[in-house]
Amino acid sequence: MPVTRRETLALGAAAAVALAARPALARAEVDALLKEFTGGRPTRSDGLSLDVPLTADNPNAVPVAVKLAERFSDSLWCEEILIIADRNPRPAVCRFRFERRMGLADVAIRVRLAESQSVIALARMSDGSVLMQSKPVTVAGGGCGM
Amino acid sequence: MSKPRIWLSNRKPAKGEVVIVRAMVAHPMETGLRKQASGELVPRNIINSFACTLDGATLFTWRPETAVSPSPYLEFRFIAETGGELAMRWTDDAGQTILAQERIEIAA
Amino acid sequence: MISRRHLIATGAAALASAPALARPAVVTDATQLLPRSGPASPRIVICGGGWGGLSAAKYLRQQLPEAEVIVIERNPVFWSCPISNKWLIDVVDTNYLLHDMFAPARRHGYTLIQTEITAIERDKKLVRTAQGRIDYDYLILAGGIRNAYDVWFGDDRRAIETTRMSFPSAYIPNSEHVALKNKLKTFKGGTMVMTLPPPPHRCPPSPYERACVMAWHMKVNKIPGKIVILDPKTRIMPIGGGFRAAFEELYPDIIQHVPNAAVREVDPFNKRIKTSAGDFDFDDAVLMPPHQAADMVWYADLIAKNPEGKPTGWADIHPTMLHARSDDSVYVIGDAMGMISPQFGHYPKSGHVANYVGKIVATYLAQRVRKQEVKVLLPDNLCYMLVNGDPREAISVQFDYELMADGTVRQTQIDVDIRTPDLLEEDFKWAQRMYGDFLA
Repeated sequence: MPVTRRETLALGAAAAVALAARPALARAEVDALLKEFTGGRPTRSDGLSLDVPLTADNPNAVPVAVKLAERFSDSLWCEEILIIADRNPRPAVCRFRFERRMGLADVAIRVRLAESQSVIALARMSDGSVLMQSKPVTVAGGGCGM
Repeated sequence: MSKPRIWLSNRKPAKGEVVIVRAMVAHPMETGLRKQASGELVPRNIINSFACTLDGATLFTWRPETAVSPSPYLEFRFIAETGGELAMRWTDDAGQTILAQERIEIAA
Repeated sequence: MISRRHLIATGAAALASAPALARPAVVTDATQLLPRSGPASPRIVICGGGWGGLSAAKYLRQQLPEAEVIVIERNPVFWSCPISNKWLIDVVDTNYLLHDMFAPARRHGYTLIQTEITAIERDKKLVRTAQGRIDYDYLILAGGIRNAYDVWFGDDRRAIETTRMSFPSAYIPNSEHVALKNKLKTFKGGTMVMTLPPPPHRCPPSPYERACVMAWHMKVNKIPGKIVILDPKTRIMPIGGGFRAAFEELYPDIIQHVPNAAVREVDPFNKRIKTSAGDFDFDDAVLMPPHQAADMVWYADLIAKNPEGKPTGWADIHPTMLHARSDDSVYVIGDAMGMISPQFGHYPKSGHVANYVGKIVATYLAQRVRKQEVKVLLPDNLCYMLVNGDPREAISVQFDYELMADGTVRQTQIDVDIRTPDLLEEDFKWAQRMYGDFLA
């Protein structure tokens, strides 16, 4: 993928700007995502942890970590994790699909956030139950020089 | 083709040990929402899938969308039950792939 | 009373017959540091011969060969602060950091004078130094930072000097780096406290790197010590993930990171610090006071004011043209630069940015002197931080800048939190490229 470092960085900045639009459309899309993932079932929060900083000094790369407390067993494991940024113009951030042999679900990524909003993590277990956690993030300028 | 940056907590884990993997590749993660100076949209090109296998068997897959940061960082843990090749493959919208391979050996 | 002129005349006469009678001239208000050299014009005086000043000098001589370029630097030799944390644990030796400043001056044709700036009179376009006055057509202030011990101690000089001598900060090239290395090498154990300056400060990730190399030294030499990092920020940044992983995975019993620990009171005599996160007693310490723009920017009366009318501590410059807002014949480059953008604040105060901005200002000045349009140029930044001594592994952060349609500057930051050996190799390549640029 022949992109120079300068290009890579510049593209990122521009993308973050372009993302800052259309929160109303995002709402409907979040609802659709939640409905699709949970199948309309109620969710619980115990057993799932979501780690997001309270304030994001670099909105282009906000660390997000999702962890399932229990290790996988032969009878119960996590099949899928969905991460949502509820006020991004495209709220779906990413999905993980696990095999039983992974042994546990404990992942961390970096996310672009268009504005202050909530990050939502959902985990669907092999028995169909769904766990959900949500954390607010304040997006501020900042970085090295602040 | 950019070389992935990989860090493993242990290449010779005991059976049942949790292994931490950190991986990063250089990629612009072009969202398709950005306009060029000419006013035209820059076509979307993101890493849209990642697959991790150990000894040929899938451990997990990851499907990033446009909100994943440029030069995506991924950290994950797995329980080492078998040794073999830990293979990680990133694929982008343009169909290009980046492959990383690391040898895992279960300590006796 | 003998006038200086008379003294020189006598001296010159004496020189012919008896050179042993020559003596240092008495410096008065009228003493010229360096008379103008014939037709060379314009005269550009650069105050500070660090990463920014020497880079500006070289590129000015290349892009504006008709200019007379004079660099005034108080230090007798060049000591590189970048890479100096690695030197603390002997990853490089002293020769790696110590450089000759005459070679680049001769090669590029600028004059380097070793003396101290004592005042700047912009209304007269005049710089005063310990060895006389020098007038300029354009002035570049490249003095880096000052240690603002007065924020802690007011005018208590005894407390300031005790702190500096006993618990040196080692963020400005002088004896402090050597003292810090000796401190580390002779440390027998106990609590070593590090106070981090509040942002913005010089080389933001480097205090954490310093904690890592010091912790590594304690770990391999089995010194029963703890390093307590008193950090005024809410969390580690930049490269927070990479540093946190290093602290937790490599030095879990040695490094303790205390966030939200703004210094309230420092007692260097009783080894005690009060912070907003509690009080700490220490056996030894690296006390880094707040940083501000170098004294020369204050002398020039170019410190920005915040909305409440208080000095920000940093130069009031045009964010893209880089000259003082109130005086376009004066540029401020490097760490002393003030606010660039409400999005990210300051450019990282790094050698890389100082070098880059030195080149940019040389280009701007050449364009102005030639009456050409001045086109905006922006720097980037790059730094590598050693977090492990064996195997030697580093992490990294990259910044890039983009000019937006409204004229503001936007920053993109990518942290490389994954520690790998190749990043240290890249660091050495970077350093050699830099030294080769402005010191060769």
